[in-house]
Amino acid sequence: MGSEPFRCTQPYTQLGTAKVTADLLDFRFYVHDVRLVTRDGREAPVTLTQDKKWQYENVALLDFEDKTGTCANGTVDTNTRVVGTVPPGDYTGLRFRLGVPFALNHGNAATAPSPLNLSGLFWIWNAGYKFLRVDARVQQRALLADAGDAGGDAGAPPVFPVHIGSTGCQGDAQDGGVTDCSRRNVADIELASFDVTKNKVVVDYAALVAGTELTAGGGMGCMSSPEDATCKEIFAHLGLDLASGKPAAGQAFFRAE
Amino acid sequence: MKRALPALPALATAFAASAVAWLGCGGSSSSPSDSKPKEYEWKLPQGFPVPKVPEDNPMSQDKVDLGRHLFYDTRLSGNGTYSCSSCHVQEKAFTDGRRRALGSTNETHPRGSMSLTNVAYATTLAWANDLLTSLEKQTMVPMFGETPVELGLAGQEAQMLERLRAEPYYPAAFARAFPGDPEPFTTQRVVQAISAFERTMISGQSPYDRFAFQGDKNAISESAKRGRDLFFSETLECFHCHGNFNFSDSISHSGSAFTETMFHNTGLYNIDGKGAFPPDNVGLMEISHKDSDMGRFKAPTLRNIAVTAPYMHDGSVSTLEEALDHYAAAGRTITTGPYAGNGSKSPLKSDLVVGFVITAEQKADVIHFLESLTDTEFLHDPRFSNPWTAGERP
Repeated sequence: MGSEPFRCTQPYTQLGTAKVTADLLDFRFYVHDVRLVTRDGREAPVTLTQDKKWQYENVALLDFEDKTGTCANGTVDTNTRVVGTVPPGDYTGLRFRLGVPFALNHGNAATAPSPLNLSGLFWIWNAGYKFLRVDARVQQRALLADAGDAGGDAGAPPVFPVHIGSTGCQGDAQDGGVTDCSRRNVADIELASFDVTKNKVVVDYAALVAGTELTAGGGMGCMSSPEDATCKEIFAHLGLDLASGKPAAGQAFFRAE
Repeated sequence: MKRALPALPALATAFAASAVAWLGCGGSSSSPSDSKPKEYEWKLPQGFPVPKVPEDNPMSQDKVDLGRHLFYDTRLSGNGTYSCSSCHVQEKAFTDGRRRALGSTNETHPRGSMSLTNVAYATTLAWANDLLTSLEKQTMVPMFGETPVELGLAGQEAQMLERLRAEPYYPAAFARAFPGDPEPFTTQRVVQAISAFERTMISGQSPYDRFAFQGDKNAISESAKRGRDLFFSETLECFHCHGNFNFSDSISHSGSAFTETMFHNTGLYNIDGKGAFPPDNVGLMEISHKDSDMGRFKAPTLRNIAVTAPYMHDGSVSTLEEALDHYAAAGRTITTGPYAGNGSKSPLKSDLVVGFVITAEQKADVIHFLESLTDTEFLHDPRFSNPWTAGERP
C-alpha cells in the first residue's frame, strides 16, 4: 500500500486520482510459471512444492488478507511466499505470470484441489477464477469531506472491486468445456533485477489504482471487461492490454525491493 | 481435469454412456442385475423425452429428496435469510414476481429470476450465458456469485457445510444420496443434490397438454385453439424461438444427438441506433464481449408463462398483452428517458422479429392459448413443495 504494509484493519489514504481513503476487503492473487532468469538470460522454471494448500502443479496462491477487520469473506491463513526448487545457478532476474493457467482455469471449481477451491475466488459466470481479487470500500467520511457535503446522505459506501480473470470464453457446445478465451488477461511479469537471496517482491495496490477514480464504476469497479473504461489504467499497471487481453509492457503492480 | 483421451475411445465411451442412460431412465426394468441401485422413476408427461443427466450425477430418489430439502433451506445463504426458494417460488412456476431479483443482502440483480419449469431440458442456464451448460455449474452462481450477491456464500463454504452437518436430518440424508462417499458434506454434493431436484421440476399437465398430447379435444377453449394456430403461424413467427414440447428453442434431452444453443436480440432496446441495450444488461455480450452479441438473450420456456409476470430479462414488460405488442411492433419503442430508442430499427435484431397485425380478438386468442400452458398441478405438486415442517427450518 505505497510504503505501508497491508492490513485488513486499517484504512489507506491518498488512493487513486481523487486521493480517497479506503478500507481493503480482500487481497489475493494466483501466480504461475515462476521462473528465475540467469545472468545470460536463460530461464529456470521453479518447481513448486506441492503443499496441498497454497500450491498446486505450477500455480501458487498469494493471500494477504487474514479475515480480520474488513476482510470478512477471506481466510484466516495468509501466504506471502512461493516455495519451490531450482537448479543452482547465477540468477539475476524473476519472471512469472499473474493468473491461473488455461488448463486449470476452467475445470469444476467445486472439486478442484486447493488452492483452486476457494469460493471467494470462483468466477463461475465466466467459467474460471478471479486471478487477482483486491476489493476496496471508499470511506464515506472522506468522500463527504471532498464533496464539501457534511450532512447529506450519499448512500452506501462505494465498493471498488478489482477482479481480473479471463473473459470472452467460449464453451464447447457438446460438453460445455471451455475451448478458448478471447481475452485471457494473464499478465507476464518480469523483474529484471532480482536476487532471490536478498530481494522480495512488493505488490502495491496504490500503484495498481494510480490514475483510477475509485468512486467511479458504480460499485462494479474493474471486472476485466474490455468495454469498461474503469479498467484502463488498472490493466496498464498490470501489464495487460485491455482491448486484446494480451501482455503489454509497463506493469507497475509488482516491484523488487 | 487434465484429460488426454484419444478421440476414438472417448467417443466410444460417450456413446456407451448415453445408451445406458436411455435404457435406465426409461423406467423399464430391463436391467439384468439386481445389485444396481434403484432407478429413478421420471413419471414423464405424455410426449416428453427423458432429460439428459450428467454421467457423474445420476438421479436417485434419495438425492432428489436431499436436494429438495437443500433448495428450501436458508442455511444456504451467508446471513441465514435466503434459500433457492426465496427467488424461485413454486406457485409462480419458480419465479418471484419481481421485475429484478433481490438477493439475500438486499442487492438488486440486473435481471429477473427465471422460471425453473422444465429446466432439465435447457441447454444453457441463466438469461444469456453460454458457459453455464449444466445445472451443476449454474447452481454455483447464486451460491457464490458476488456481482451481485445472491445467496452470499462466497468465502463461506466451510461455514455452510458446518451448518448443514449440524442439522439432524442431513447426515443420514447425504449418506443415502451419495452411498459409498465417506465425506459427502462438500460443495460438490450440495450442488449435485440441488441439481437433481431441479431436474424433476417437469411441467407437462397443462390444459394444452391434455389437448395436444392426451386426446382431450375439449381441454382448451375455442379461443385458445385459434390462438394456438396463430402462435404456430408464419404470420406471428412465435414458434421459431418458442417451438417444440418445451416452447423454447435451446433444449436437449437424452435422445438429442446435437446440443442447440440459441440467443436472440428481439429489439427490446435500441438506445444508440446501433442496437445498444442498457449497460447492466447487454445479454450474451457480457460473456463473449462480441459486439454482435449485444442484446442477445435466450428464449425461455413459455410453459406457465401466465404466472411468471413481469416478462423479459429485466422485467420491463408487465403483461402478456404488452409482450405481444412488442412483437407485433417488431421491437419496442421507448420514447423518453435514458433508454429511449426504436427497437424495431435495431440492426442487431433477430430476422424473425418482423412484426404483425392482429385484431384485438386475435390477440385475446393468443393470450388464451398462452394461459392454457399453465400447469396448475405443477404449481401445487407436493413433490416440489417445501419439505420442512412447521417448527423446522426455514
